[in-house]
Amino acid sequence: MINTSYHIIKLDEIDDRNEMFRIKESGDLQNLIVSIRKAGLLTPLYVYRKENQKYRQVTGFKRLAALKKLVITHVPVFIVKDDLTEIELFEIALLENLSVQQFRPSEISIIIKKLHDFGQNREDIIKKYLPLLGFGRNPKVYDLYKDLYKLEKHWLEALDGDRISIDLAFLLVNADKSDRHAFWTVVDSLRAGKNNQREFWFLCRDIIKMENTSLKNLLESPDTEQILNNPVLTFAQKTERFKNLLWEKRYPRYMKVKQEYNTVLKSAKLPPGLNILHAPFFEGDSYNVHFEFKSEQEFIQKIQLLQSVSDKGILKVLLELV
Amino acid sequence: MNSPGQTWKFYPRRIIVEDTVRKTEMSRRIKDRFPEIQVEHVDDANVIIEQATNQDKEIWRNTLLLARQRGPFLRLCPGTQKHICCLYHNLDVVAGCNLDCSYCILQGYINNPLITVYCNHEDMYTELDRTLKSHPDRFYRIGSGELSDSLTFDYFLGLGADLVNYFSDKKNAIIELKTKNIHIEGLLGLEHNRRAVISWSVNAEALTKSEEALTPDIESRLGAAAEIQKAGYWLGFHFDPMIYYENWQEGYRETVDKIFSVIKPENIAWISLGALRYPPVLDKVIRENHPETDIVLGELLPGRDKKLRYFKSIRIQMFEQMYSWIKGYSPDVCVYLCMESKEIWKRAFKWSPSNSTELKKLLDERVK
Repeated sequence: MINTSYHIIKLDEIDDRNEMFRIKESGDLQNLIVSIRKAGLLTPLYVYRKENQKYRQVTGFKRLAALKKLVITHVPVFIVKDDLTEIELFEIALLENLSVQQFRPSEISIIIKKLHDFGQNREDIIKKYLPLLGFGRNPKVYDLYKDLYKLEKHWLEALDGDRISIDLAFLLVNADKSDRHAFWTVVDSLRAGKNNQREFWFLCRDIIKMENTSLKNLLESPDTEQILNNPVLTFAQKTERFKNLLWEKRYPRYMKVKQEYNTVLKSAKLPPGLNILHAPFFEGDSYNVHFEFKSEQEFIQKIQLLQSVSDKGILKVLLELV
Repeated sequence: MNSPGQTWKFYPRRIIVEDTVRKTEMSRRIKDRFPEIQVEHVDDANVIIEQATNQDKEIWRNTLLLARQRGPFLRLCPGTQKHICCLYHNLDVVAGCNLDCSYCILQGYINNPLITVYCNHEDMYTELDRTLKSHPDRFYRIGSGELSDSLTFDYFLGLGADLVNYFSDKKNAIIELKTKNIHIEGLLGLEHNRRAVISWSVNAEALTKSEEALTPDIESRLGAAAEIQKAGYWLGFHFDPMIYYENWQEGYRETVDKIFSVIKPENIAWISLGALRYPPVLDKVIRENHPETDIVLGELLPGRDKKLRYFKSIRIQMFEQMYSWIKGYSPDVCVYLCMESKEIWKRAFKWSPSNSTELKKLLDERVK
């Protein structure tokens, strides 16, 4: 148990510039203001005092901001009496926040950073604090989260809003700022889902190495801009074309054969519901025919069409492409 | 690191011995070889393996762990689904390697930096005896180069000589010692009766420099191979993994030329070809362990066994070319593909074994 005493103190006795133990941004205050106006402050703040200085907050940063908006002059507080260390005070902040809601990824990263600031090492954090945050004692989790707070605000908002994956955030934080900026344009203008984002990132990473260029140059090239800024295309169409462009650069031989295959097959003018499919990535020497029919007449018609693909020599060309 | 004249000798920083093997001959041999190192003892090697897996790899680098093999020593090579395999047997007597090749598949299999030597060799020979005697009509090609390089630690293990001696009187088995290193001293002067194939993994010289940085260069390897030829052994060469790069034709052609300039074709048991391939999970590991390598930038796509492989036309082109160069030196040299489909065999070699059993038979006949 922490040794505290309950008091009502003046708001201006609190040093509101000191945010050493802040974990969360205050965010939208409106609901809290309504609540305080109606029922008063239900949960007192935790504060402590060093010598004759002003009180410093351990918890309740959002509550204090709301009280100020309401121009309230006095506030109920628990004054931490023990001569607690900074890490012990931070644990109070951590536990109080945990009791209210789960932490978002950016907040977990800030917590890890603050734990380091308060003298905890990697091992301590993995063993003692990751379980507290709902993780196993897994060094990989630590590595994944520890630097995320360094990302720009828009990336952190996307991460906390579950619009980008934690894996991608990890990759981004280790990338150049200019590359991150260029990649944001893609993510934002395509409204790409997490799987596509990840695929784009990995393809771009390899292409820039293969072409000895930068991500910025790649993503601001005329080819890319033509797709991203095309006013006629839908987001889905843009995404598909952009992906295709990256695949052509990353896997040129495969994509060339695939395009030739599609061109030759197109010349056969097969109707919907009838298709000749190559093995994935052309691995293996067998092909599949996808065949749909609703009547005997349609069945015969499609068999004849397939026969004509062979008669016209189209099948032979397909089989010899690779 | 890669220059002629180096000795490429591994020197252990620590030696940890599991109690159950402290009195074995191999354990004694290793301790005698490094009297200056204070040997540590543990009850259970798995505790060390677990620590080495979870802690910073640097702490455990160059640590020799002498342990008991708990499972079988002999294991049929798992091969790969839907491909023709040679039905080889692996002898798991050492796990781990010091050569640090960028493409090494062990990075995915073994997630600790220890060099583990399984020292309960009495169990190993008992198991080999039992297997070979219980199937006298079956021929076994056995190799110790799957979880390690067969000879890279041999200057202090002497295991190569032990195995050559053991197999020298076996009628239905042959041992293949597969290496990139040059520690062959222990093999010279043995009565091997051609029951051993000493094989070198080889590559284009440019790739040995960029991807096999801690290994001896091709000329040093072939110098060792020439000594082995003089000692009357069968020789093998494995172009595996072949890596596609800008000047691959000149690079690989040069290595083929160098082999045939010092090795007589009739002494070559086999030459295998295999293109770079690895499970998708290894991609990340290679990039992390070898950020400088370009091999991951190849046109590698998932194959039928889900492993990443070069696009089919690239593999066919490389194998076809190599086959013609090798056969140009000698039509009788046995060349085979490692883990490829019948289709690729046919396209590259213009023939194919009908299945894995037929390939096994072909290779067995070569050295029986």
